[in-house]
Amino acid sequence: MIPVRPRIGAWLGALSWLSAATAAEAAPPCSSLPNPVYLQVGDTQEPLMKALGQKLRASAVQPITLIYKTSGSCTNIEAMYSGVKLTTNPSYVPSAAEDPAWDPSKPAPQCEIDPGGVTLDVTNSNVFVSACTEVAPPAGVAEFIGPVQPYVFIVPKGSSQQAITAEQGYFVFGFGQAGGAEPWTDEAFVFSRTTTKSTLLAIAAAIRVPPSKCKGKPFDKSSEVMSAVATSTSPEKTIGLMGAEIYDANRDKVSSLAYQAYQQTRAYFADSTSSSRDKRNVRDGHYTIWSPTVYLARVDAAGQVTNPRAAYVLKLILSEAATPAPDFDPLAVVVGRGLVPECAMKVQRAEEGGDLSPYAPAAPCGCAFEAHVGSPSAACVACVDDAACGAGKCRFGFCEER
Amino acid sequence: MNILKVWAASSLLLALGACGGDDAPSDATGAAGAGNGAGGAGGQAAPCSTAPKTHVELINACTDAQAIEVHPVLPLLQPDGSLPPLP
Repeated sequence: MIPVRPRIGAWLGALSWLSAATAAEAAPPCSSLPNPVYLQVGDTQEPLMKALGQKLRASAVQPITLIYKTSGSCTNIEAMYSGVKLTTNPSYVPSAAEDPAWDPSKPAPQCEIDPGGVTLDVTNSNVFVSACTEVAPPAGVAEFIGPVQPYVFIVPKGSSQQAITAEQGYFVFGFGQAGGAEPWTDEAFVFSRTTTKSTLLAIAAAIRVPPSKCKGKPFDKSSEVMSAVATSTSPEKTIGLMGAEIYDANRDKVSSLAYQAYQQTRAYFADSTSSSRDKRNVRDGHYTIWSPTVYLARVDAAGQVTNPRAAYVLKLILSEAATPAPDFDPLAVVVGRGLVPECAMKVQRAEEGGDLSPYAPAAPCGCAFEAHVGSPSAACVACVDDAACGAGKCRFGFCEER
Repeated sequence: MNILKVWAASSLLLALGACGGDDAPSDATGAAGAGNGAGGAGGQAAPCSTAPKTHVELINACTDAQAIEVHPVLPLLQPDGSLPPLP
């Protein structure tokens, strides 16, 4: 009689070996990837990581591999403050040679982290750090203010709702069903985020409801909120919270609501119309739910980022001059992900949900921003150098005031 | 149910009515941006600022962006329009 069990065991053993071999192929050691920069960012910034990472892998002048993990803003701040190492397998952006079919619309593959963990080069918060902690960065860690991240309320395509006021938000998310703010009175269809996530922190600050008191079903990931809203069985009663760049990539699945802030007389979309992508209302102050993205990195006594590759990546994200000059347009990458560079903003704020005040960036890029999201306004003049700009400066291909 | 009134941003009327157009007011306030003329009680458009400096002026500045008027029914709103404390 043939002993069945050992034969099954042999097959299982072989399958296990094959599975392990496949996994090993799919997950190279992170340390084997060229010129790595390790980041821990909010999941709203994953589209930027992928798009920028693809350009950097292909760069002939400064090739870099972005290796990243996504987590909540407050968690990311704590990770840099406390020197928490990356110990779980992160995602990385593959080169064209490693995966010719990969593009930023696809999930990023994972690499195998060193068993001892790896020190993070950069972490990211998509709200003011003060929204998470009042503690100043420890010595050797500095904050860098990046592009502005808008946040939106989303509803299913089947909803007739077009706008929400801050007061409605206060009752929907602060009181739930008891708030009586129709049609969003069923908490089973109010989809929120957990309290370390920038999306909740920013919107909660706007409607003045402490994040810990927000009603609704909290989700860990943006993708989970997107799925819950898009597939809701009760579209009219459904509302969710989302980063604008995730919404922008899913406009075929959900709609965003115009928002009317406290003391505002009308509601406005983040963009100048419901169908445009120009973020004009974010730039000029008509749409108030936004936060700067904040990047934390290790610095020396002079305040310079200690890892030169991390410094280079930060300069690209912050739309600052980098050496060597990149062989792609980093501003286009940032703008293309739904973010608004600081140099394109006309308003500013000092704290989460705080009042706005006029802002004049030191090195403005408003015309280039407008060119990237549509067409530049009539006042914008294309240039190749300062000669065409009179008293102004040629920046990103357009004359600016300064 | 919200009572919504949507103004289209692209109409000629908007361009004429919006601050910054040919008929833009010369003082610091003017007709509200998109689709003014029929907005607000009694057809009186809310004021907007052409040279916003403060937070309230900035968020209500004149614009030709698409704007939506919202009049939600909020049963817990205080008689004076203020918000009750959170539970």
